[in-house]
Formats: sequence, C-alpha cells, structure tokens
Amino acid sequence: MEPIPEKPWWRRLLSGGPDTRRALLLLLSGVLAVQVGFVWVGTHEAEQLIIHGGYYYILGVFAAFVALSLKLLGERRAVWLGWLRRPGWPGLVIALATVFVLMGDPFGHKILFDEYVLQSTARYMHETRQIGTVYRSYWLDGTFLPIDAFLDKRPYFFAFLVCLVHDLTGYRVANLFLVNAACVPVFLGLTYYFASSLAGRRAGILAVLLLATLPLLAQNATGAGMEMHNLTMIALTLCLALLYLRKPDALRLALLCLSTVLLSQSRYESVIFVGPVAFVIWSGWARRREPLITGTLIATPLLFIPYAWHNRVLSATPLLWQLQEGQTARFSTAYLDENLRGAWHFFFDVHGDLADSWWLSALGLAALLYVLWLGLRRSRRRETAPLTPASYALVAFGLGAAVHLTLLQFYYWARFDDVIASRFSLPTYFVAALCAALMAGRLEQRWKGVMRAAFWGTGLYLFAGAIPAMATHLYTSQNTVAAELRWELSFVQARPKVPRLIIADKSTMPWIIHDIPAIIATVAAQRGNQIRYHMQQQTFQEVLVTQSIRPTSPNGDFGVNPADRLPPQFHLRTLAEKRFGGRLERISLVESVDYKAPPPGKADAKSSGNAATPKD
Amino acid sequence: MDSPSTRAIAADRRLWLFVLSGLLAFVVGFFTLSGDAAIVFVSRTGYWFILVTFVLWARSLGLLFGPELRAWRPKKADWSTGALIVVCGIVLIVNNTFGFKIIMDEVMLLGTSMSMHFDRTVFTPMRGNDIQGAFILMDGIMDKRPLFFPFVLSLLHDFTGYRPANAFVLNGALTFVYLWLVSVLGRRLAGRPGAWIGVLLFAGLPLLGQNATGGGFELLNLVMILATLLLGARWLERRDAVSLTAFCFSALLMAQTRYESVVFLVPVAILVVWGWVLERRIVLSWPVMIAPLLLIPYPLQHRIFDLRASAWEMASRPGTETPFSLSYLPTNLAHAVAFFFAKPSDQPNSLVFSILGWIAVPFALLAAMRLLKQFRKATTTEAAAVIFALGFIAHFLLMMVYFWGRFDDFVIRRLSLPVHLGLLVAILLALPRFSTSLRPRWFVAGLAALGMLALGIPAMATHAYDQEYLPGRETAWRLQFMAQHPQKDYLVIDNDCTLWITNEISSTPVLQAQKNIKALIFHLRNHSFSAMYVFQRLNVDPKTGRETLRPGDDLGPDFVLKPVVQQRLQTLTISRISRIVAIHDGATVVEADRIPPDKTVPKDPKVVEKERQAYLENFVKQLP
Repeated sequence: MEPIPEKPWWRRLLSGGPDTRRALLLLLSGVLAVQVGFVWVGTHEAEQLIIHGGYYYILGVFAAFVALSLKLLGERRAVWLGWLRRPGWPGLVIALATVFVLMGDPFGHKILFDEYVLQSTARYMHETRQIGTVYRSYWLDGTFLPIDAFLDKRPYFFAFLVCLVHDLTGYRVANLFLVNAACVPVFLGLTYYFASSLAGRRAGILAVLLLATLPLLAQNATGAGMEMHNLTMIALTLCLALLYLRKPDALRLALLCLSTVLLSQSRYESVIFVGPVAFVIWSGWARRREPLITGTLIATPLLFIPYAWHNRVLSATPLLWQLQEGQTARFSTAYLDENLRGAWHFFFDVHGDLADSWWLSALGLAALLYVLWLGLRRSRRRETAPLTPASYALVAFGLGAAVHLTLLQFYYWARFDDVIASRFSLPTYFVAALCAALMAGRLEQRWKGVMRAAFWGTGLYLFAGAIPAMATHLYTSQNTVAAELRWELSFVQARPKVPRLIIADKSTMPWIIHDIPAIIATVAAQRGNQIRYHMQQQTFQEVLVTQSIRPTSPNGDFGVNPADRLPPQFHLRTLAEKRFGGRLERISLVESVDYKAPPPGKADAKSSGNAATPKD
Repeated sequence: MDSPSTRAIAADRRLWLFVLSGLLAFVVGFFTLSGDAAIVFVSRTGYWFILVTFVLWARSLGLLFGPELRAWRPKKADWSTGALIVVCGIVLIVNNTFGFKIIMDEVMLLGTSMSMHFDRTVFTPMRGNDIQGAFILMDGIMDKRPLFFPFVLSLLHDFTGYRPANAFVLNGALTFVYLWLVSVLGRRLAGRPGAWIGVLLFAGLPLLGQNATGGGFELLNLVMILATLLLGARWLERRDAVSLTAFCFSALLMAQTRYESVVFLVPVAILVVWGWVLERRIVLSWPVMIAPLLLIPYPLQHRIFDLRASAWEMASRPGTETPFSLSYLPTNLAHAVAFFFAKPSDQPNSLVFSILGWIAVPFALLAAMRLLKQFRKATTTEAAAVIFALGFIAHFLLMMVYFWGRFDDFVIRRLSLPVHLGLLVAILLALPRFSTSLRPRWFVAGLAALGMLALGIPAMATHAYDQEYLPGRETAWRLQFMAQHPQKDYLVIDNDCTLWITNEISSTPVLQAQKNIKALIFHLRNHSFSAMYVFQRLNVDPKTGRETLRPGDDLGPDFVLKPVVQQRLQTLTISRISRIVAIHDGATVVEADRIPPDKTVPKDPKVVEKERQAYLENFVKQLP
C-alpha cells in the first residue's frame, strides 16, 4: 500500500483551526500598522507622537528585549558560562582585536554634524524624555535650559542607549564614545560566533581579523556616530536568526522580532533587514513543519508604526534631506553612475587615503563568486539536503546587504570614496567577511593550507595596508572642519569660565552639548540689538565669534566667508587665527554692538522699553 | 660511527641552494646596484626585508619554545630570581631620567622608525608639514644606522600609535628582557648564584640604566647578542632545522642592530658548522637557505659610507684620516682603563663589575682552552659561550682600533656594553672552575649586590655623568618647550630639525630658512603657522661675558627676533628660543601679528573652492 502523502505544512494556515485565526490576526496587525503608520495619523500628529512618546516606545521595546534575552541566557547558561570561563584562543583574538580597533583611530567626532545631532538628541532624551535635537539653549537661573528643539531624521535607538548611560552615570559628552567602544567586543564576539558556526573555529577567527584590520571599523568605533551600533545590531539580529533557525521556538522568535524592530531604529536603511528576517521566520516554520505565530509576532508590525511616522516626517521636511545644489530627489538613477565609480574606487583603493580594506574587498568578491557558484551547483544538482541554519541565515542577510548596497547606489550622497559616506559600506564589509570565512573554511576541507594562506594574507595586509592607513588616518584627519571645531572648543574652554555666547560659523550643537550657549552667524546678524542688550545686562560677559577666512588668490589675500560676516554694528577684535588646510579659522571677541533701529513698521518688541535703547 | 662522505655532502641539494643564495646575495649586494640606486632600493624595500626576517625568526621561536611554554607551570618557575629581575629592572629605570641621551643616533633612529611606521619606507625625515590636517613626511635622507631597532620601534608605533616616547617604552621593556636573558645565561653556566651575579652586576652598572631610559639601540643590541648566544647553545643541544633557523635568524637580526655586532657572525658560523659536525650531516631549513638573500640590504645600506664621507664622522676628531688603525690602540686602551676604573661619579661604570670582570678574563681564557680541548664534553651553553668569547674579543679589539673608540668619551661609553657582557661571560665561565661549591658564587653575588647598593645606585641617583653632555640637556629643554606648546601648529628653525619633525612639528634648518626667505615671508603674511620660532645657542666669553651666536645659528639681519625663553644650561652657553616677529622684504617689513584688511570673498562656493585649491597648491610650493 502506498503511503498517504503528507499535506504541506503551510496548509495548516488555511485549515480554519487556531493557526488560521493567528494568521488572520497577524494579517490584521499588518493592515492596521499600514493604516495607522501611513493613513490615519497626520504628519504633524505623527511628529508630536514621536517627540512625546518615542522615548517610552523604544524603552518598552528595549526592556522587553532585555527581559527575553535574560530568559534565553538563563536557558543556555551552561553554554555561555563555559565560553566565558574558557574563552581560549578566540577570546584572546577578540580581546586583542578590540584593543587594535580602538587604537586604530583617535577618539573624536568624525562625521559632522550627524554625531552632534545624536549627542544632542541623547541629552534631550536624558533631560526631558522627549525625542528632539536642541539647537538653542541658555543658562537660566543656573540651569542650562533647552529653548528650541526639532525632531531629527535619525532613528533614535542609539541615542536612547546613550541616554541610558547618561541616566546611569550622569551626562557626559564622552558617554557616546563609551557606547561605541563597548559595541566593538560585542560585534567582534558575535561575528566570531556566527562565522565559527558557519565554517569552524578558524573561520571565526579569520572573520574577526578581517574586520579588525578594516580601517573603516576603527574610524567608526572611535567616533560618535551610529554606524558601529548599527553594525552590532545587524550582527545580533543575524545571530538571533541563527539561534531561531536552530530551534524555532516562541522565545527565540520573539527575540528575533524585537531585535529587528530595534535594528530598524538603529539606522534608516536598516529596515531593509525586515525582509530577510521575514524569510528566516518562514524558514523556521518550514523546519518545524508547522507555523509558529505568537503574540509578539502579531504585535511586531504595530511596533514598526513609529518608524513609518518618522519616515513620513522626514519625507515631508525637505530641509532635513541635506540635498546639495542642483539635486531635487534623495533617490534617483542619475546618481548611479557616480556612486558605482565611487564604490569601486573605495573598495579597491590601495593608497591608504580611504578607510577601505582592499584585502577584504578582494576576498569578499572572490567569496561572493564562490557562494554564487555553490548556489548554482546546488540548483543544477537539485540537492535537497537542507542548508545549515548558519548558511540559511547568511543567504537571507546576504540578500539584505545586497539590497542595501543596491539602494545606496541610487542615493544622492552615497559615493563611498567620499570620506563622509564611506561608513555606509560597513554592512557590505560585514557580509563580505562572513562569506570570506565561509569560503576559506570550505576550501580548507578540500585543499589543506587555504586557511593558513588566508591568515598569512591577512597578516601581510595588516602590515602593508591596514597599519600604514591607520597610522596616517588621512580619511579622518583631512576632515578639517572637525579639526576646526576641536580647536575652537579647546580655545574657548581654556579661557576663564564666564557666562559666554558663541556666534558660530558652523552649527550651534557642538557648543550646546558642552553647555555653551551659541547661535549661528546669520541669526546673530539679525539679532544685534538683543545681543547688545544681554551684553549690557551681563547675561553674557563674553561674546565670541568664529569665522571662516578664505583665500581669494594663490598668494592668500584672505577675507571673511560672506556667510560668517557680521554687520558693521558688531565691533570685533581678533583673538586667534589658525590655518586648517587651505583656509583659516578666526576667533574674535565682540567688543561692542551698536544699536540699530529696526526697519519702519517692525517694532523691536524685545528691546523696546528695556535698556537696549539709543538713550542708553 | 660513520662520518658523512664528502660525496654525500656534495649531493645535498639544499646545501647547493644555500651556497647559490649566498652567491646571489653577494653579487646583488656588492656588484649590481650603483650607490644612489642602492640607497633607493634600501629605502623602498628595507622594511620588507627586515619584516620577513623578523616574522621567520618569530615563527621559529614559536616552533622551538611553543611546546615548552605549553608545558610550563608556575610551580616550575624560579620566582626569587624573577623578583630580583623585576626589582633590579625598576632600580635601573627609576634612578635615571627618560630622555634622548645620544642626540644624533637616537633622534635619527626615531625618525627612521617614523617613516617605517607611516610609509613603510626607510629614511630619516628632514621635511614634514601639516598640510590638510595630517602631518605628512615630505622628504628625508637614508640614515647609516642598521634597521632592526627602528623596525622594532615602528612595530610598537603600529600597535600603540605613533609617539616619540615609545622609544623609551621599548628600551624600558628591553631592560627586563635583557636581565632575564642574563639570568638564564648565569643559571646555565654557574647555577642560580650565576643568575643572581649577572643580574646584580648589570643592575649596578649606571651605563645600563642610562641606556635603558634612552632612545638608542644599545639595549636591543645586548638582547640580540645574548639571545643569539643562548640560541646557539640550543642549536648545539637539538641540532635540528627549527633550532638552526631560530639561531641563524637571531644572528641576522643581531647583525642589523648595531654596525659592529656583525663581528659576532664569526662565532655563529663556527657554531653552525660545529653543530653539523656533531650531527654528522648538513642540517638546513628553507628559511636558512634564503637567509643570505635577506641580508642584501645590509651591504647596500653600507654604501652610505662610500657616498657620504661624513658618515664616519671623522670630522668630530680633527686630524683623523682613517676610521680604523692600529695606531689608535694605545690611546684607546688608556681611555678604556680610564673608563673601567674611574670614580663612579665621573663615569657610569661599575668598579665591582670591572674588577671582577677583568680579573676573570685570564681565568676564563684558561678555562676556555681547557674546554676547547674537551669540547665534546662541555655543556652546550659552555661551548656556545666559549665560541662567542671570540666575538667579544673581536668586538673589543675592533673598538680599540677605531678612531673614536675612547670608552671614557660621553658618546662612546655605550659601546662598552657588549664588553661588559663579555666580562660577565668571563666571570661565569671562570667561577665554577674555582670550586664546585656554591658558596664562592653566592659570595660574588653578595659583592655584586654590595656594589649595586654602595656605588651603583648613588651614582645613578646623582647621574653627574650625564650633565656634561650639553646636546642632551638642550634636547630635554626643547622637549619641555614642545610640551608647553601642545598645538604643534608652529614652525621652528633649528639645525636639529629632525627632533621637531619626529614630534610632528614643522621645522627647517637655518641655512634652508635663509635660502627660502621669500617663502617664510609668504607664510608669515598668511599666518600659515601660529608662530615661527628659532632655536639658537649663544656662547659666553668667560672673560668679557659677551654672548656670541654659535656658528650656523645666525639667521641674518632680515629676521627680527624676540626672545621667548632662554636658559643657561651650562656655565658658558645660553640656549634660546626666539619668535620671529617680522621679516624685512626689501624696503617693506612683514609683521607676524599684523592682520591684513579683509578681502571680499566671492559668494559662489565653486569659485571659493577653486581659489582655495589654487592657494593650497601655492602653499605647498612655498613650504620650507
């Protein structure tokens, strides 16, 4: 008698039983999320909801994630305790690699003004539990009070973590560096865990070394941006996908879902990884041969609503897009050609001017071709043996990284050889390192010595490429605007502590995060009378101006940048000048401000009736 | 036992490959490249040659000692000797001041390590500037000094970031390594008291402390000589390919640490052949077969001495015509006696070490003769020590026929350090011959401890022997100035410009400044540097008190200077740093503090960027 063929497992979703009811709930949740995220709530209301509720939303998701993580760790206590007690060679390699990465670039702000915005957001969250970026703040009765803030375009999970550190240790600018530095061992540890699951212990070590010798990683690990944290979240979600695929149960599914929500709040484009995670969840059901639709999974689409709101606010606020002259759209095929050239130039630059690793790029490219060949061979031979969980997760996230890379090629500011945009290549490099580890591990089974050759190659690259590039770190040091800010801050902080206002030629945020009130020059130019008033009232005992001085001929002949020039009513005395590349930065003291009558019909409301009148 | 037939040896392909690589290295090293091409070759490839040599050495050490390290247990350790090494190392370091002791050598070595770290090239930077936010090395010269010390220092820069003080960190760490190696040698030749004797004698030698806190290559040289000796003993013990590789590569690196250490290659060759004789076959490994090729940069770099007559520095001793001559022997011997037996306040010597060592020399020679007669019965360490004694003797004789081999000269004292190591070997070889009992050895160890406490530490505490060397004190004073001006955005005109450049500060010599006065005017007008300083030394006439500039320090009448800081570092010299406040440009005077009236900057960002690029190009052209 022939055996009765078993029904496909997914038929259970349509059988009308409890699985069908749960599937309908999941569908309903998805539809509801789309409606609430994109239709029912207006953009302004969405903005207000994020500002006032965003902190509690992310706190809730994070708390749930931590609680579930502790539960899982409790279940697998023997595994991780054993690893912690006897970390062996991998532990040593991860520790040394962490030290190497953290010493690979000086700690400091690298990406202006993203990093200051994040820092300002974290502080605002810490002080008010609202999401916002402060750009105007003054000392009032001994409190440095935020006056004006705006909702920034950046997702706020990273800012939330920094805020958490502020909450626990007190506000400190350096806390942001602390969070990034702490991400490094976590990221490298997760990389080792995944790569060793993929192709063995030595492959795990190879992946760690390939990433540790990537100058871009060191640059971001010691910066104040959200890239290192985003990368850690990708690695964490990937590892959770692996854990889930190994044993698809409710706890692991919940962790995977929450991690994906948090990942989407780590960088804008990381929401792309929702697709691979959905694929992984479906694969987990297939492995179980039954669907697993839990409460957390049903709630997950709803947890993406704040992301949708945030995205709508961004789309409705072109000012936040930071488009350059002549650009009208954020994504366009017009950018493709330039971006592809930039990507090729970046990935294979051997001169050390950029923060790439040509060794990892080459290995990654070879590994990509190898993985494609493996896939092709598999489909031709019609192999039915299931992929290992690690391979499955790698394929899913590899596709996610490919979509991420492709999407960036259409983005207006994604030329990887632009030192500001190089950081977008980090997810690609991460997947490249994993693929390279997989390739070396599998080829080693056929030809002994492949893994050794990969290690020797990495060692050679370390001395020939990575260390010389990290030593000069031109990709960081040539960002003269960051150097200008550092100099200005150190100059001002070395002066006596008095109530002070800075009229800044760049952004006010770098000053505000250091508790120094600041306004930008274009605003100051219109508010001369108010500044005059407060100088007289001793609100500010010192008003300093920073200005960019530009050459007008090959011989110099410097002049003040038109945007930084203050009206003649301001009387300045130069305190210091310093050259930064081909221009100078000047710090001057405002000695006095003349009263300027407001234009007819516009009453100088704030100054009328007070001491700032011509009579004074 | 059968001896290997000549035919069997001749049929060994590896031996022929070794000979072939030796011949190839000889031809390439001495006959193929012209002087300038040789220098360019070493400058571009020297780092990679030394890196490969170092990696192969490290690999062989790993293979040789890996199993022992894995089997090592704390119970097996001699903790008391370990504690002694730590205490003695600390004594040497804390009683001396960190700083550059021998100015040209140490700063040049640091400069070479800097170019190795940043560019993987071998040159000492003579021009460097911050152009776009990063300090860029723009030009330099090939130094005559061997490459191993700068290479090790560049490794330290690689893994901890560039810092001039890394030179002191390295030497401080090498001090402990050296004392440990001394204890290993002592233990093998004379038991645990031998280890204590060695450590205590060196801990009581102020000269070692002076170099342990400096930036020179003396400590590494000592470490490499001693490591090679001990690896030679290991080779005789195991006589396998791994131990041969470790031994030979140690010798290669030793030969590239200090010029004269190449004389120790003779005992190395003897020990290799002796090992083959004992083993009755030719033992060779592939790294040893290619080892001669790795030495190619050594003779090529040596061409500097042909290209630059000044490299021998014979001008420092007027009347000298040849660097080596037997005629220097009597004078140098007298100076050696004056050094070894001088009062500890005058010289950084150790009377206890000198007396014990020189007394031991004849007894050690007798012991060596006896050991040579029964060479197969000698322990491997004794055999290696006896053969290496030839190297120590050759080294001492070489110093004695060197035109500047006066051990009581401040700059030359350090060259006596390998002689001190030879003296220790003599003590350790001779001592066990007197008695098999350990008591006399402990007595000598007690004497060494007494010498350290009674003479060594007080001499180090006062370090009067340091104070006569004005360039060293001037360097320390300039470093203090740099510490007080941390922005590093100024230019210094100084004939010792490498010192500033190695601290990532723009600098140029006086002659260049005079030649490029127009460029300096450009930079003064455009405020390219936050300030321009000049370092000058003034000699004071003891009779009249009149101050005159040292020849070569005068910038000329076009420069208007304002003294910023000055100090009388010696009775009759004043060191001064002045700021250039103005430069005469024909009839006009360009003042440093004058802010010219603002020009109108165009509003179009593209035009602004174009003008910035044009200015930057001109700026680079005008750099001194």
